[in-house]
Amino acid sequence: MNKRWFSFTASLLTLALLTYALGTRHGNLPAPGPFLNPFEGFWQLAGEEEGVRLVLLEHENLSQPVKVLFDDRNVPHIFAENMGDLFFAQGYVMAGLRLWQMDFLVRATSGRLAEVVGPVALPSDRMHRRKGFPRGAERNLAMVLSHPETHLMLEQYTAGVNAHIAGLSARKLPLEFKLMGYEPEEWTPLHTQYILMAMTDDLAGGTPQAGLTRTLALMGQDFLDTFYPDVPAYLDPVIPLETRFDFLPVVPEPPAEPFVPTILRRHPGPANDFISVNFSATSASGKYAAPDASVGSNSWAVSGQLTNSGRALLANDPHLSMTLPAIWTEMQLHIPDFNLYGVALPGIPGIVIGYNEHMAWGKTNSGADLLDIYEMTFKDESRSHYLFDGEWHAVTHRIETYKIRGESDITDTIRYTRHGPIAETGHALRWIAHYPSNPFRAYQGIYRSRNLEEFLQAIRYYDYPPQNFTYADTDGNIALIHNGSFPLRWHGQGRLISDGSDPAYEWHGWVPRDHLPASINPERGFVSSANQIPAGPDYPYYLGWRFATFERGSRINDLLSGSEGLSLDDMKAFQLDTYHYRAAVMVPFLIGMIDATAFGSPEQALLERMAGWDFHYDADRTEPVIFQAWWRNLYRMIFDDLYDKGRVTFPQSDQVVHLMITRPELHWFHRPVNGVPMSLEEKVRRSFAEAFRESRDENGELLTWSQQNSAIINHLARIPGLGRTHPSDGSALSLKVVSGQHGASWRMVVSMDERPKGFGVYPGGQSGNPGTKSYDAFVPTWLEGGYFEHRFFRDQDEAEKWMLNRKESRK
Amino acid sequence: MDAEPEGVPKMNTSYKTPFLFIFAATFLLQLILPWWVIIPICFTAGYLFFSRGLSAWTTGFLAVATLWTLIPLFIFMRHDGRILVRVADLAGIPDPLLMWLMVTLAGGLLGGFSVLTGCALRNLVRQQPRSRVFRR
Repeated sequence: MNKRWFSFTASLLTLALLTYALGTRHGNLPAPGPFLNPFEGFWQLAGEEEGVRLVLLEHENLSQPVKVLFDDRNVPHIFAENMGDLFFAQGYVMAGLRLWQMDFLVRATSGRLAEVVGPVALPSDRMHRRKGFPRGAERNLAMVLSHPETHLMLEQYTAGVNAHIAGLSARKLPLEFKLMGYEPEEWTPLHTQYILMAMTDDLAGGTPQAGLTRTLALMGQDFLDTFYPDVPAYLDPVIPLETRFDFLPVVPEPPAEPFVPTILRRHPGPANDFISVNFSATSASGKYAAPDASVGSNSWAVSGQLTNSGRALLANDPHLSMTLPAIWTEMQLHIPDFNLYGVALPGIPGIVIGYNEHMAWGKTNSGADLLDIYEMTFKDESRSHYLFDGEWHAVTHRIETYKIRGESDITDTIRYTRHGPIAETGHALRWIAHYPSNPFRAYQGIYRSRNLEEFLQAIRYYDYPPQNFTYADTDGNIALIHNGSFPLRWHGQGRLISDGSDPAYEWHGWVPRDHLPASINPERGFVSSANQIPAGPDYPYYLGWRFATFERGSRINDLLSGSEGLSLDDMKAFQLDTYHYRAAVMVPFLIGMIDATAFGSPEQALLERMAGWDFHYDADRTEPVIFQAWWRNLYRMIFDDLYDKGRVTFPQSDQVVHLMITRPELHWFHRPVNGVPMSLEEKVRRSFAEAFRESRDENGELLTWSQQNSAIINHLARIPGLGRTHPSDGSALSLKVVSGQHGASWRMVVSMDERPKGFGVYPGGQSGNPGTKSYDAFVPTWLEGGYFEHRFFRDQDEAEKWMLNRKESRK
Repeated sequence: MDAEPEGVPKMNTSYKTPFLFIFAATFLLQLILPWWVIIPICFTAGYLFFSRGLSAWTTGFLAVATLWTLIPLFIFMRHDGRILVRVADLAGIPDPLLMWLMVTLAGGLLGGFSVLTGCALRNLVRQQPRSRVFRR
């Protein structure tokens, strides 16, 4: 081989290697060639249009062109002539803002994430399919398509999304597609249903049943009776206690002999004989681990008697996980039938929380138990037949195929009983999300509502996830309805694992809509909800027992009751209130239990400081750091033997607090810790000493609350560098909920003036494109507790005038 | 590689023409075709214009690297550098300019070796007696 051959070969080989290196993905990293080059790669995502602009949409699916005005915060205002045009435009606009997020959510919830990210997503994919996401989505879709108006809504929204995808060049694909190396798939009506399933899963997809059964097996009946009441002692329900329920309840009869789950009969047995509460379908969310129900929201409405303007006010801040891109998108939707402003979920047509020209509505989650776990009796090992009502029934099968990026397909057979899918442990699951439902029918009614009657009629079509619907209107009415489909059960049915062979454990229909807890124009002049128990012990239906604890609900009610002359600014201030009710109840009691003289002077000084605390979780305070650590350590010492026992359901803190204060002598508080005998007093003392140690930095300086507490806003797919973390005040139990990834995902206050006036903010930005300012534009304002005034245009003319005036004033 | 190959007529072309050729062609064709279109363009340029490896490689490197620096600069001036900062962040690169430099380098290397390969092929083909005869 001569020199020239060598030169050529060497050069060609280098080029080939280089081309290969640039053209292929390296692990999680995108292929550098397409990703880095300025003609196609990430550079192309710089500066999508963000300024104030008027866009004219023309498409064969539109009866006439639709105008969309993007305002100075990139909020689209859509003006259309009919529903079909409106929802086409909404789909188009939403895809323009958030296409990757929509595509990703669908892949994640339909159990097809492994198709694009590889085998790492397979456990999550399996969980979603085994929990019956595809089945629920398909059943719901059939229901939505069977109604002409909701059919049109979904069909047009789908067409709008696809029109955007069709017009999108590969070069302009959202960054995450480029990073992860795949392309958006065509949108279908089923995709929207999957996103609805995800919402139901987030808000009504867990249950304490398996955990509580396991706790009973470990700790015994007395422990359960003591720490897990059906109605909490700190009782301040959503529907005021004095509300009378003047209807004839239709509560089913309980079985004569209560069922005893095998897990209880076998105890104590060998450890692996013990049912692992790893009910694969429900465990992924980790909902068993937390001592308290965590997902929460606040909402209230104040009647004109309590406000300075004489107009009703409404406030709502749902606390879903904070992510970038954010879960919400702000929009105005206008057709001759209605004029709406509020927030939409990417992938779902319509507005979820907002207001029209006549009324505003807010939502908080119910927290009712809507997922039952059944122990099944199978004919034999093959699990092909199960016993029900004295007869053997065949299980049905559903084959699920998983495509996996870079690997060959695998299949999985999911078995169904009459209750629902069977988990690995042989338990069956009955879940509200498998029941056909058409929320869009309810929403369309809400959008058109001009008064309370129409609103109440509309929400009867809303099934799940059940919500506290808060209402206020321009006539001055306020209302709150604990609304949705609640299974009709005998009292306590579904507290523990149920008998899958006994019809008594089926759902016996639904709680009649006229019997739902509701408060309409109550005497106290306000309605409120913070996910606490919906009604007091007089309410005849059993909805579950594990609701959010009292703290946020009681704080709202304290702030509102007896107030007068309330304004929108007060509403904002309440949403940002950092008062911590549990600290207010606990700290004086804990200090009273401690013999301060047993401590040195730094500890004594701190105790004195604690005694003078106003129980606000403010950024520069040390007291929250101390209380947080004190309570955490104390709780841990009291329930030492519950930890490391797998998935148990921990007692909710409010009951523990209540018993500690009213019955400190209770033997449960005086059990040994790690085998060392220890009184409650000793536990309180030690946990304080521990908190004292934990609350200083390496230089011995006391930590402040914002050094410990952060608002964590991760990227939806946890891509590093695309999320944000900021120190913050607030806590999980303050009205200002900021606790890691949980926080107010949307804060809205509306004054129901003749022309409603709304303000809002969310921790994110309108665009899902990290290359634009709009990606996280609202985060600083959200952190500072600021709000943006909504540009709720009366019509298209007004919107265009606003735009022209703005241009002129800027000249 | 950069030694003057024997028996090949010396090229009487300045670097300006091939540079502009590569620069213009990669610019225009990348507007419609994927990044790898750089390879055939540069390869052709190498074959047509170069007999010396070093100048071939250098011209290819500079032409594409310049293009891949100027286009981002243009994007910067038209919009802002947000996207570069984000991507540098997520790639764990401490300075966005370093990220930019990597982009320049990737384009440059691809251009350089494509031109070099074209040049090497020319030298290989033209060393054959027949081609020399033909040439004469």
